[in-house]
Amino acid sequence: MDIRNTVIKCLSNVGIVIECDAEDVNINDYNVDSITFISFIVDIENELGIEIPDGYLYSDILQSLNGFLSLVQQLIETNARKESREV
Amino acid sequence: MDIYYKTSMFNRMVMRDGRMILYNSFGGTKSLLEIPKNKIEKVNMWLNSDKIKNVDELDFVKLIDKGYIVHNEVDEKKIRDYRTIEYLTDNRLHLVVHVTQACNFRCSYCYMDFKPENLKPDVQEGIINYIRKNIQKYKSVCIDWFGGEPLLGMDIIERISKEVIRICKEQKKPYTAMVTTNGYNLNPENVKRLMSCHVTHLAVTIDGTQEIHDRQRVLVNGKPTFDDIIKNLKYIRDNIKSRTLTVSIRSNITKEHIGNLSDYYSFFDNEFGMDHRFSLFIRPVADYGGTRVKQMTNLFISDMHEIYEILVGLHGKIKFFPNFIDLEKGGHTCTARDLYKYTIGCDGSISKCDEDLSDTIGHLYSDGYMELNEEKCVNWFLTDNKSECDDCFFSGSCFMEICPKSRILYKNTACRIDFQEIDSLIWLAANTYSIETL
Repeated sequence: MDIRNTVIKCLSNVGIVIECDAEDVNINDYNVDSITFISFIVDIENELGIEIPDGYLYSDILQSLNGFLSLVQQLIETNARKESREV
Repeated sequence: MDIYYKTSMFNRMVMRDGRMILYNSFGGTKSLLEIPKNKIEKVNMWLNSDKIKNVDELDFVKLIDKGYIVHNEVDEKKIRDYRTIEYLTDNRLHLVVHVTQACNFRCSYCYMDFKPENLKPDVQEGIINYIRKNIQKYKSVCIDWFGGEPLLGMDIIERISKEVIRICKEQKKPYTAMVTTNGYNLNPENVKRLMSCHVTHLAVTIDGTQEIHDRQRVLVNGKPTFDDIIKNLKYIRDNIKSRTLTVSIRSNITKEHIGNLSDYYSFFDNEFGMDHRFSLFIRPVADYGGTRVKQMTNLFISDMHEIYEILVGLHGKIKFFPNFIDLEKGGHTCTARDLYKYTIGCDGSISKCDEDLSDTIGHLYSDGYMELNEEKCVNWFLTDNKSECDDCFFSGSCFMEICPKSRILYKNTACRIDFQEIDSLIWLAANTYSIETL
């Protein structure tokens, strides 16, 4: 799964256009208000099958695209480990 | 050259038990600041001066940063007027959609007449077409599913949502939705359906503890409803993992509630305090019209001051965050003043007030054309200039009018704010949030 492209696509869905090959970007520079933020998070959670924990549900998590990608990667790996334990 | 400052006109100082809390209605709850005892005298001197020469102290700089002290040349009233226009003309489309006039409850104070009328198919088309044709004008779209009881029209919600979500995605505009519901039909299946419709907030009404709720909010056949609603909320608490779905539990209270606010709070804190998605929201029962509520007028609470004072003493995890919106910039003025907020009735009539659909400002047609009476629209947006409001500290929050309906329909322009109540709310907020100390 290409997480980076999925995240960039979800950002695009809410009107934040970032180049795929951009180095790290502060997404908050794109004037992210609360509706944009929640709409993006809902989209990401649906696309990737993850839940962003309470402590991360602030627009601070978008200060670094790479940082956000790391968080998402961790959540996907945590989910995969949970699922393999359940099996 | 000397630089001079002055105290902001939007400041309020609340002194209780030897503590001083500062609040600024422009800054809202983020402005809340506690002044420690050893600095009260100094801060009082600064904030009570007509003109303050620049003081080379970190505390003085902090007060400037928080907006309590401003440059002497600044015209705060003009800034307030600018921000009022900016706030009310923010181009987010906000639709309050009456999915149905029907309701499975018969609450003792409800103003609705419960016609078994659903949102007409051509109005549903009209909403979709309006958004499709006009979305470029807006930076985001938000729909508030309302009623009657909107969960009686889940098919309608799903149908419109599917199209609106698609349109917004194609046009790269954020979309969110919320539902105002009695919670009885908020069963697991409907919760999942709502989440698929991008509903991120549920406003559920539960009027206090079981005893009082089951007197005020019963089914059409008179049967109680508390247990079923709580069961539904517990399902969300225990099984819905997404943290983006938030729930505010609104309680419409009367004098009957005052004696057991502590039990009410303990119950909800025990059940939902550990889950930060849940919050409480208290409002007094009020007369929004209809005949039912007339039986209860002797139970109305005239001001919330006493209630907020009681709530300060309740120390748990669940918080009254929605109540604090009343302290935010623009938070104390009705959303009916927002230029791009429209309430859509089942028949396609458009009004500004969610509760009173009688004063229509236009009509939505099936092709998406929204016919608006501009003269009526401007009545809801602009307000009469009142000198007592112009100088008021709270005008940063209320923008000089709380309820345009009072002015337009009842010709009542008197200020409805009880400042003792505001002080109590400031105090409650200061004891809820982890606020800074100077």
